[in-house]
Amino acid sequence: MKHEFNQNILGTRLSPPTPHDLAARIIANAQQGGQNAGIWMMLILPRPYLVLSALFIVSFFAGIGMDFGFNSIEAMTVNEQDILYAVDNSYYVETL
Amino acid sequence: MEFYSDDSDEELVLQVQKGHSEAFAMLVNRHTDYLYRIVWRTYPDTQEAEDVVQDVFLKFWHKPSLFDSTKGASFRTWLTRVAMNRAIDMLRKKKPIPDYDYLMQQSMNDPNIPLHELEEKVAKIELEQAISNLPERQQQALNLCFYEDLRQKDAAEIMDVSIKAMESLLMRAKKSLYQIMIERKPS
Repeated sequence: MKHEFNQNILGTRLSPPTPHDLAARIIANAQQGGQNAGIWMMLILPRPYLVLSALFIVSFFAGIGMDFGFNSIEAMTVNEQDILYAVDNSYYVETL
Repeated sequence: MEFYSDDSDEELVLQVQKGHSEAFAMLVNRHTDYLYRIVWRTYPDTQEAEDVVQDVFLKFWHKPSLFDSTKGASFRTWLTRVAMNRAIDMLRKKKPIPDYDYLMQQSMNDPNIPLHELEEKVAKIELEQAISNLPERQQQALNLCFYEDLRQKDAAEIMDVSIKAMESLLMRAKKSLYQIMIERKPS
């Protein structure tokens, strides 16, 4: 059923001009990303609890002294023996 | 694959679900003006309205299964409902500062605008302000049924009310609007 209004009383409403390139921008954005773009990011981003839980677990293990291998002294320093081994394929044995 | 301008929305949606960006482009070109108008009339802020329209379309592109044609609603009805709900959510969080002044200024700056057109624009802005004083649901009902010329059945579906409730909303909206306009009229 159609409504019946007195058009003369209400008049036509103010119509905002649609930004002329809005449709083009939407299409360009869609084509740029592809249909499944960012799907992995979308799995993570709306889940702050997931991210916080992962950080908590990592900090717990770091707290009990577990070495993750990041930034550890052993990994960053080069052993003298390793250099010697790299040079002539044998460890230097010090003889007295 | 080629798409034609007389392909129905539902046919195009099926193609979007298969990943055809041309079908998506056709839907965007077909509905952007209408959707922008709907959103702007609910939330009269140019920038925010633009963002909502863009966001609704891109969400649909990334997840076309969001629209389920088996539920009976047309694509246009579904799109309107999603966009309007977004605009209403924004409205509840933050009242916009309407762009009426900006629109008025645009006309004032145009030296070629005839006086009767300027008067008409002032009247439209007054009407716009009167409508913004109506309760939210009445504004939506009026907007969909009168200004967008949707069938009451479709408008009721968008607003999630029965047809009877829609009729009653429209009746109350007209009465209140008439009252507001009478009160504003200089004696």
